[in-house]
Order: sequence, then C-alpha cells, then structure tokens
Amino acid sequence: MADAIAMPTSIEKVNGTAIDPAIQIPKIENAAPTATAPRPPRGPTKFQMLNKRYALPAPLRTFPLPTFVPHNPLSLLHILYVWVSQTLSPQSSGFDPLYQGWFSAETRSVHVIDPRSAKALWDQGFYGKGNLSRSEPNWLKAEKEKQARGSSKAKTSEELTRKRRRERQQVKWERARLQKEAIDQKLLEEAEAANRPDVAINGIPLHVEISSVVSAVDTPPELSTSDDASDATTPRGFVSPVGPLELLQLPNSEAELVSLFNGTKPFVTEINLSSEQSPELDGIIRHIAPVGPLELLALPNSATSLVACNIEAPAMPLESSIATPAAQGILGNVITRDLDTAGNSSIHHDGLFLDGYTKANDTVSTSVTSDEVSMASSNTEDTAIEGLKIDSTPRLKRQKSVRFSPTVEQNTFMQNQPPSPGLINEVILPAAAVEVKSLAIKDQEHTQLTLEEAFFLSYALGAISIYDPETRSAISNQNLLSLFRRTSYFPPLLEDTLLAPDDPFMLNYSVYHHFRSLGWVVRSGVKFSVDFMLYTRGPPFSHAEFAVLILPSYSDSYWDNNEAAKANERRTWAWLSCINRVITQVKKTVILCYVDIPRPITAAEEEQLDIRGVLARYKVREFVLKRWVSNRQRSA
Amino acid sequence: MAEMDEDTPITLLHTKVDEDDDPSDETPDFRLLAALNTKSGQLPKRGEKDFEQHGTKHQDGILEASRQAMHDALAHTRFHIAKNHTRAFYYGDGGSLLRDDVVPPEWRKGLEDDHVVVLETAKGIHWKSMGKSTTGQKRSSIWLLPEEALYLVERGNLDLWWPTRSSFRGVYHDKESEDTVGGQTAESEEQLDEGFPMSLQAAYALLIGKDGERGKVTLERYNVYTNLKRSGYVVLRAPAWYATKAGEKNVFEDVPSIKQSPSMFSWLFGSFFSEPGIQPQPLGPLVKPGMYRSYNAIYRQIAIIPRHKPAAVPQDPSSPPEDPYRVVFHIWKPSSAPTFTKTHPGLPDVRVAVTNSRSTLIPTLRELTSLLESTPWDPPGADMIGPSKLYQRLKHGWRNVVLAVIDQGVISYLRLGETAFGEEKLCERFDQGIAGGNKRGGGAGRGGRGGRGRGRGRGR
Repeated sequence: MADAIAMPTSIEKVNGTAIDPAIQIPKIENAAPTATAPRPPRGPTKFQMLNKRYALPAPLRTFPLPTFVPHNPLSLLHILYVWVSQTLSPQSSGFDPLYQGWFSAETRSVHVIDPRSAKALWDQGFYGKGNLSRSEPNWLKAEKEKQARGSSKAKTSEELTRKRRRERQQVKWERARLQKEAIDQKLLEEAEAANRPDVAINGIPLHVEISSVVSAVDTPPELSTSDDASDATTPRGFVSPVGPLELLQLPNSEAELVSLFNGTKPFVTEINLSSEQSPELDGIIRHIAPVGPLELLALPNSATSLVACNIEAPAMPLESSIATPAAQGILGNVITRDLDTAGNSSIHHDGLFLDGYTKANDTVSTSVTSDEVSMASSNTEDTAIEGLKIDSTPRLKRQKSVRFSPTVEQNTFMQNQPPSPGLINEVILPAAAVEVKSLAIKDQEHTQLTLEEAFFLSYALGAISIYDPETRSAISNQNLLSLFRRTSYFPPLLEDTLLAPDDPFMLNYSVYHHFRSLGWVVRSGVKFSVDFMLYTRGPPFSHAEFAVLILPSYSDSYWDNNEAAKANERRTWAWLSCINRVITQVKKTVILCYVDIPRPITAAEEEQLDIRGVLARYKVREFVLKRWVSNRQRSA
Repeated sequence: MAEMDEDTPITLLHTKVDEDDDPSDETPDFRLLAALNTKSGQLPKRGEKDFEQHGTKHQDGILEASRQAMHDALAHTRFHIAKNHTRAFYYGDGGSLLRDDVVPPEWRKGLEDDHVVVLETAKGIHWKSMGKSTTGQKRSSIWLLPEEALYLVERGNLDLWWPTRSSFRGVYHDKESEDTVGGQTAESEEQLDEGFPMSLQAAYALLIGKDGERGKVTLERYNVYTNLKRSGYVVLRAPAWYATKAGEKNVFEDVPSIKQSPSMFSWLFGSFFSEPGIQPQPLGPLVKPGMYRSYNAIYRQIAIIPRHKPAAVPQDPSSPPEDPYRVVFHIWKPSSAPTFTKTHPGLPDVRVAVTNSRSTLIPTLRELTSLLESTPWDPPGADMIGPSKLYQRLKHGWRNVVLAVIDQGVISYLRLGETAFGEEKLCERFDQGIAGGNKRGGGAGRGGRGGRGRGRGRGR
C-alpha cells in the first residue's frame, strides 16, 4: 500500500485529538495494513491502524486549536502560537490540487482514474466503488498479493468471503450427505425388515404402477426410489431392466446388437439428478465417461428423459443383460430419423456418426423429445412400456444440455460450470500463471462515483472537480446539476429539456445530501433491495444499521389532480413486505424516506433560486419500519 | 378443548430470542396434539420438519401419526360446562327484535350503538376486560360488542341465543313467566320464552359486516381482534373506531420542552473562535474554500435540506386520519391484564390500525403523518440517552403506531415510528475525535452479531 496520497505526514498534528489509542474499533477482516515493513516490537494495533487510515471523515481537513488545559498555563501560549501562525498563513481545508473525476455518459457515473484521488475518496468518507472490486478499490492490491504468495493465504475481503462461502458450502454438503446416509440406512433397514421388499419401499404411485407392469418380467431384488441412482453406498447387484430407460435400451434388431458390441467399453448410465437434490452429490459421484455415440445419446436429453431416469437408472453392465441392447437400438432408431433429415444415414461407424451429428447440431439439448420417446416405445413389441404415463409426471424445471467433446469427463453439467473444470485447472491455469509472473501488473481499476456522490463532492464539499471527457475541461456545478438530472433518465434527456421536479436524480440526491450533511456515510443499497445504506462511520468499522427506501410524495396542492404524479406514489404492501423481510433477515432496519416533491418552477425561477434554493425545496421525512411480533412483545 | 384457556401464556415456545423469530410463522408438530389434554393447557411444541418425501416407512409413519392426531383433535366434542355456561341474546339488526325497541332507554344508558348482545348472567373471568355495563339502574346488565360476542362464541365461552319477547326482562326477573307475544314461530311458543340457540354460522352472518354497519364488525378488524386476544392482550376499541366527523382535528397534549443552555466555555469563547459569517456562493461549493477549525463549521454550511423537527405540538398539524389509516384498537400487554379494569384502563401500551393488504396501498406521506399525529407524543426515554444509544433512539422514534396489514386472514404487524435523523447529527462527533466508531458497545462490532446476513439456510 504505497502512501501515494498527499496526506499530511502526521494525522495527529492535523486533526488534534483525532487518534485515541483507547478507542475500541470492531475487529475486521478487510483492514488494510498500511505498514509493509517488518513490525517494530510494539507496532500499532489493528484499531490504531484503522483509525489512522480513516482519520478524516470527509475529504476536508480541519485545523483545530490545541486544547486548553486549565492547570497548565503553557497550553494557553500554545493555543496563542498556533492561532497566530494560522492567522498569518492560513491553510486550506481542501486538498490541493482537487481530486479529479471524469464524467462517463456510457456508465452514467463519474470515473476517478488517478490513484491518489481514488484512494483518498475511499479513505476520507467512503466515496465510490472500485469497478473491479466489491466496494473498496483494491483490485491491484489483490492481484499483487496473489502474485506474491501464490494461493496459500487469503488476504482481501473478497477472497475471505469466497473462502467463507466455500467452507459453508462444505458444511452444508457434509450435513446433506449425513442426512442422505441416514435415509439410505433407514431404507435399507426397512427393506430388510419387510417381507416383500418391492412393495415395501415404494412411496410413489408411479413406481407401483411400473413395478406391477413389469413384475411379469422379473421381480427386481431392489428398487430404489432414491434420486441418486448411482449412490455408491447402497450395495447393488444385478438389476433387471424395469425402468423405462432400460426398457428403451433393449436392442431392437440383430444389427443393433452387433453395433452395440462394437462399443469398446461397457458403460454405466449414471444420471446425477443433483439439481433436484442437494448439490453435494456432484462431488461424490464416481463418473464413468460414456464414450460411444449411443451412450452419449442415451444421456438424458430432455425433461422427459430426465423424468424417466428419475424413476430408475441402475448400473447396467453390458454383458449381464442380453436385453439391454434393444433399447439402445430404439434410441438409435430415433436418432437415425433425425440424422436422415440431417443428411447422414450412417449409424454403424462411431466416428462418422459422431461427426455427422456434431455437424448437424452442435449443442444437442432437446433432440429426443417426449414425442419421440413415445414413438419409439410404440415401435417396440414390449407393450409394458406403453403403460408408462410419462406425461403425468411433473416435469423437471431445468433442462440439462449435453455437450459433445472428444473426451468427456462428466456426463452432467451445472449450467454455470465450464464443460471440463478439471481441464481448465490443469491446462489453462498454469499458462496464465506463467504469463502473470513475467509481467508487472498494471492497475486496471478505476473508482466509480454515483451521480449523487459526485455531485455532493463537487457541489457541497468542493473536494473534486469533474471533467467532461470531450472538452477535457471542468464542468461547473450549474451544468453538472443539469447534466446529472438529464442523465438520470434512460435514454438521457436532450439538452434544453424542461426538467421535472421529481426526476430521479433530484429525488435521490435530496436524500443523499440530507444524510451526508448529517454526517452519515451513505452507500448504495441495491444489494439489499433498497436505495441507500447508512453507516455511522464507514463499512470497515461497523455494519450499516439502516436501509433507506426513498418514496416520492406529492403532497403539494399542485399535484392534487395530477393522476400521473399520484401514480408514482403507489406501492403495494407485498412490495414493502418483501423488502422489509429481506432487511429484517440481515438484521437491519428499514427507513421509509418520503421526499416531498415541490411544484414545478420555470428554468428562470430555478436560476434565480440557485442550486441551494432549488434543493431547499425538497423536504425529507423519515419513518422507521419494523416488524412487530405480537407474541414477543407480550410482556416486555 | 373447550375448557382449555387459550389466554394462558404460551410459555417456553420460543426460548431462542431472535429478531426475526416469529413463532406464528412455523408449523406446529401436530403429533404432539395427541399429548394434549384438558389439564395441561399447553399448546403443542414445534417439531422437526421434513421438506421432501424420502420414501422411508419411518417418515410415512410420522406423517400418518400427525394426521391422526389432527383428526382426533378436531373430532373432540366441544361442550359447555355447566359451571361456566353463559347465555346471551342477540338484539341486532339481523334479528326480529331490536335492542332499541325492546330495551327502554333508561335500561341502556352508557351503551354504544354497536352493543347488540346482552348477557343473561355474568359468570367467568372475561367480563373484567370485555363488555360494557349499563349505568343508572340498580341492576346493571352487561352488553357486548359484536367482536367480543363472536370471539367468545367461537372459543366456546358464550352460548348465543335468538331472543324472545321475554328474554331481556328475563335477565332481571329470574324465572318470571311472561305472556308469549306474537311474532314468534310456533315451535318457540311451545317452549315458552326459551328462544333458540344460535349457530356459529348465524353468529358470523349477523355480526360480521361492512365498516359503519350498526352492530357489526369488519372481518379484518375481527381477525386482528381475535389474534390479539388469543395472544393474551386486552383489546378495546379506540375512540377513532368510528369514522372521523368533518371538522374534527387531532388533539395535542402540550409537553414542556427543556431548553438546553450552552455551556459557559462555549458561550465565552465560542464567538471569539467561531468562523466569521459565511456568504453562500451561488454556484457552490457550499463549503467555501478556506481554513476550517472544526467539522462543525463545515457541516453547518451544507445543511440545506430542511430537516424534520419532531414536536409534541406540530407546527403545521395535518388533517385528522382517514380510513384505513387510523387507530381502531387500543391494546394493553398481557402483563398488565391482571390489574386491568374496564373503568380505569389507563393509557394503552400500543395503538393499532388495521388495513387490508389487497385493497389498499402503503400510506402516503399525508396519511402517515395524520395517523402518527393522532397518537400521543412518545419521545425516546431517559434510558436511551448517550452516543451508544443512537440506534435505539432512532428506532424508537417520537411517535409510533402498529399497523396490522391483513391478507385474507393472515396478519402482518408493522410498527411505524416517526423518526428524525436531523436530531442525530453525527457530524458533531467528528470534532470530538471519536468519530462514532463503535456504536454497538463492548467492542463486539462485526463479530458480535453472529454471522448476520449469512444464514440463509436456517432450516425452516
């Protein structure tokens, strides 16, 4: 952390009594240590470092007189000396030169590019957000640390959060696994205890139907209703084909039987339906990659096939069942039909087949629809399958897509995962690491100020000058206000448009200015479904307690018959309950902040009032909202 | 079941005190209903909840046991116990006999128009906080409001009857035989002045109605009333129950305010060292560039948005509250119920307004101001002084009301408080060095709240 900003050498001198070592500041993780040198024997504590770094509550300095100590007459002299010297050569409370920002019309924000301004605006009142960071602009620091230490120890708040989330996920998976095991154990016990195991376990009517239909063929030794068909903990012997998928896999003709035996490896149809259940199974299941084309095609392609798999998908060793190939033949038939339309009739040659199919359709996600499955089933001689009521089963919400690749590590994918996570880790990452090591990291990050923050810093505090990237000149506050008000609409209003008194910028800014002028640290509340969050001193010190919800109010008699304006006031109870529930969940309090919209005035009147007068027309009223639980308030 | 007093405190149901822990949100374990007997008076505790069927017999067994327990509980025969049997007669607009026709004016002094049910005898504990006694006669009678009568009928404490001509006088002259008067059906004449018991359905039909209908209560208000009663509160109608008449205004109690005099030091030296008067610059910045000795001087210049100043007597009083945002119930906490008397209820603990979540929108500024100005001045108390109680003060506010938002019988209570951030100038602390670092006290800070906002999976 290079101390690049033009901070005075000693904060204690500038800010008088600002540093009190006794102050207890809550312990935090993302405290950025300012000292990089090896620690002296009694280095500053974390609290002290925080206090030192965030000593200034605003991007302005103050020059207080030394405190007067009654029993020490010398202190009076000290006061006098400081007073005289400051009167003779007054210093500016603002920092010189002013911090710089660049208006960005595309992002509707103000970019702070030079590191000095960016760091100072964060440290002195928590303004802005790093465009590559969660809030504090510390992307460069994170990258450097990553480079320096490898990946052993997390340092930035983002990394810590990720780590915490990973651990939490791990705990949840473990818990879910234990629950699953307990259930499986129970199932096993019950299965053993029962006289007739096939009936005993079934809870789902569909199962009963299937098993009764299929019972003529064979009574399965075990019929698991578990979604996790590939569960390794359950002992599994040979299972007769009872589920629809297995039945579909039975060979139709001799030719298909041959083509099936051409396949080099036996495959296991492992369908992981973890989307329905806890995701922990992803990590546990031992995947066996399907290599042949038919196996690939036998993967669940559509909601229907997923449902089919859901019912029963046991391991199916090829050699143990002579009936199996037929079903694959059926699927093959279906595919053949598809392929015919694609201009490829070969199904016997694996490579060609795959090529042709891939050419025809890169990502096959719904090639086997329920219609095709039922068509296929009607082809077969086995009438039992026709009794299957696939349509009556609830469809799964999320479809799985099948991706083709010469080598397949997994046969199911989460939508947000790369196709082969392992591959990336092994191949791509080392390459990237090599690249990073050979290059010095250039700071790619800038700070974004919201329009409210930028206007407050420019107009109220005079701590920043905002430049127009086209003319490369500073924008006056008057023009800035008009620009921001126009930019608060999408698309932005043209110049010379008459601005309404309730435009989004004025609404937000009046509230922002109100709380900032009282000394609160105001930050965006979009992650909490509200407009602003209020911190007493800043995010490193304590959590925000209040979540501000801005509500326009058209109380002025001017609006009495203006239906369009009144419609802006409308908010449903469901909407408010929703927000209140979210805020209560994170242990904060909703503040309803009504902004009384004044009647419109002409541009000339506005100019006469100047910005101060225009802002003073907006009244802000706060109400505190809290759930009241009747059972808990009884006696208190 | 009938004898189980629902008013008894539900103890030990929620030992864990959590801000968001609302026991009414949870599903009770109905298997435990089976353990319920008339003696224990305890409601079933909450049990573990399964979220999906996992096909074990064990789970099926639990489900079946729950169903059976619920069935048994519902199948239980409810009856009146002779000792506590209280009979009442309905004299509202829905019946053939109207109160004002049957009861002479001197016998109904002190009653509201909505008092339509009269008790035959006043047995039991309920009449300490419910009902209204007539005044001016040697023997007074107790009359009930529709919500009171329906609530008691529903919980099996009241036996509501259709009246006959003689019923009312029967209250005073026990067993005195009367000539049956025409207008009654033949069956009742055979029974002589006994009348008919009224079904629960009939009671609902007669006592639930629209707002403003005489002798009836809206379903929303009745839901809130019963919900609060079952939680043990004492609930009375607030004066604003009936729609405000034109010209009425909110009444304010003047509270003398304490003026703080500036300290001697600041009076002596304040003017000497303070900044000279600053002329605002038309185009800003508001903080005129220059040297400042204190953040106070800086923040004083940027205070341009008008701030709300709460006052016992508002400078610009708003109009009286209008439907639905007005206080309809005054409630007293269960802890004060044992000493509660109808004649001297004292100040209520909480004021409740009732609104329907489907037919109304959230209040506008005007509605909210009117509603809150109709409640008494209630600033943060003496226990909330000091910088460490900042949040408490702001959350308490200067006036407050509880809003019962009701969605088809499901009630969500919200406490609304008039607060004023303008009363808490954090910027004044900037010059004191301690810039409001630790508001939670004791250095608990971040960790002290136990992973807030993280626990998405709380298991319910």
